[in-house]
Amino acid sequence: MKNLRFVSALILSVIMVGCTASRMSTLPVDSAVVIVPVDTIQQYRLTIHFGKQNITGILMIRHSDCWKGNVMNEFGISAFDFTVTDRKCKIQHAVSYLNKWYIRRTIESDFLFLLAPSQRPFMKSRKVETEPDGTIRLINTAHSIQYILNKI
Amino acid sequence: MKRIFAFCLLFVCSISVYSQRKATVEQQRYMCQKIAEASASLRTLQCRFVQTKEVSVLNGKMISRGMMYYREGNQLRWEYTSPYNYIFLISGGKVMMKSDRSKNIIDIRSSKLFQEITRIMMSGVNGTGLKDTSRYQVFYYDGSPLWQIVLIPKAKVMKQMFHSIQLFVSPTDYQVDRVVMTEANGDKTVISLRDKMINKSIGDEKFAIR
Repeated sequence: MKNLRFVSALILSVIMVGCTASRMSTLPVDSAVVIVPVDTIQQYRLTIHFGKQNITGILMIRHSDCWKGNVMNEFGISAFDFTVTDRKCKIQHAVSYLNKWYIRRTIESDFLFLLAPSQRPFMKSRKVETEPDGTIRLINTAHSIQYILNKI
Repeated sequence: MKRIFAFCLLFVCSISVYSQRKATVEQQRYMCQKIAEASASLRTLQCRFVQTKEVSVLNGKMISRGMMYYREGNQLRWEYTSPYNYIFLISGGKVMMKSDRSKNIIDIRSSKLFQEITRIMMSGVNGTGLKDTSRYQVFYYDGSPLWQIVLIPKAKVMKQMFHSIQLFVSPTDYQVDRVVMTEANGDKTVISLRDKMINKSIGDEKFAIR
């Protein structure tokens, strides 16, 4: 039920969505640090798969004393901003449809897993993989969500 | 030093206030009429665009570029070519979204969300959004070199997303030159339309959904 609500809200929240059926390939490669902390803005093409659908957008991220990031659609409209420290991910601002506790909690946990490798041993139902071409794949098996990141 | 800075700030602000004066009723009527006339005679429009997204939390920008094609009869192709490829195409009652990894085609009639998206995008391009006072508060400014029209959303969903949408219109061809969307979190997206070609033929392939 929570998963259904998550999916419904996610569909509504991102104005321009791209939905398509797609087949996932599972790769065994696992890397602790998948995004290197540098004090310049890094940009990624972000695709979020859930069930048979997906959402596309852009992730902008920067590391100084902590990670700060923004997820937006291709038209530049922000979906949410977040910060990640060694122990915590906090969504600072989210569009209204995303601003539900169960969505925030899922996204915060997923981005903490992605950006704070020290927390991974304490987090279940998630794994992160990197492909030879640099594609990063974060898989949340509990909610059947995949985040695919390609550097721009 | 602070006083000098404050004076400079005040000076700059006073210049910007002077360059964008609120239009009188007559000026507003004139601007509306000219924009409506230009919209009525608009058959096609094609141009390059540069989109600059300012992300306040990162203190940084993202610049995207692409091409826009409009043809009367609710046909619009919005195509990003740099730094990513993405096509948003409205044609024949359908919306196609295509990126490197995915393609999706949606029947507009089957989705209220996409009816709204289509209405917003088309009204922005052909100027009908200015008449939509049920959805926006509209303020006109007689600026130089561009007219400024500020749309403040009334609908709850739009209000939660946008603080304001500013359209900068050329007083020579009465077409939109620049759009500034200010989000509720303070982030700004500026879309500048360049090298506009009005009423030049555009091939059908640009609007083909397949």
